[in-house]
Amino acid sequence: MSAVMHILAYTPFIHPLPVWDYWMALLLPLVGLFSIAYKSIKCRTMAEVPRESLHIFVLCLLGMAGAAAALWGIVRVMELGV
Amino acid sequence: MADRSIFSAPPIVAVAAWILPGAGYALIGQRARAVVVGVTVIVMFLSGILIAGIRVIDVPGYDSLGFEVRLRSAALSRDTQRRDVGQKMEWYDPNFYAGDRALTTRPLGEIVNKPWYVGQVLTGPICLIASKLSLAAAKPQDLKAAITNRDARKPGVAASHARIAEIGSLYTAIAGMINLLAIIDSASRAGRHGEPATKEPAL
Repeated sequence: MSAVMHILAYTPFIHPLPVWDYWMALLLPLVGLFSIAYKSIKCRTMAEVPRESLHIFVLCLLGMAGAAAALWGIVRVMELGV
Repeated sequence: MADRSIFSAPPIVAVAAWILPGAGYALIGQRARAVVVGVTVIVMFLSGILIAGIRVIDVPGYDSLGFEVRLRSAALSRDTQRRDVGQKMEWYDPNFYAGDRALTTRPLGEIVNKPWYVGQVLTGPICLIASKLSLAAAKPQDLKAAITNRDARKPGVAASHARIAEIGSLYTAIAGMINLLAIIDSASRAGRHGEPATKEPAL
């Protein structure tokens, strides 16, 4: 089925979103929502939440990028048979 | 400090927080926290369904066609095999599914097969409603054809797969895990008259 057919057959909340090529971008809202919810639970006052959420959002992204780079490096080393 | 009432007792707050994400904080008078936590948890859960489709809620104890998994005794299996010889397999026959319910016979095994459901169900009744819709969507559209033709035994709505299914499962399960944190925290604050824990962790 072509990409156009996938879009035409798409029913929100029933069928999967046709975003197979952009799945990595879907991690951004996940991390954003997680950061806001987590810091809303942890912070003493709600006034701290925006700054703390942004902090943990950046940390999460850096952590994931670091883990991805490390895993990519390990796979490359194993592929080269070093 | 929040007003003390029967509704701010920790067990009541915990149950309310499961029934409606954020409601636990509302009961102890922390409305801003209640709205932010409730909205983010629900948005995260619904985003997971939007991304991966309703079939991302994979209910333990049910097969890919939305039917209950039954465990048949050896004797019943033999009977079914005998009946199936020379004729179409009558999988729709009540006797075919006459075994014990897998979910009650071996609940741990069924849940271990679909562990992400543990996280998802922590989101509250919204997950139970989604489970019902997921099972309804899984049922074959043409049941008659599915009965007579084994090749027609396809789910009404196919489950997502690969990365999209993983991302959808992540969204829905993380929403539930965050709600678990909110349940514990709101019940804990209710026990301390709305105050947070004295020692804050680094993150």
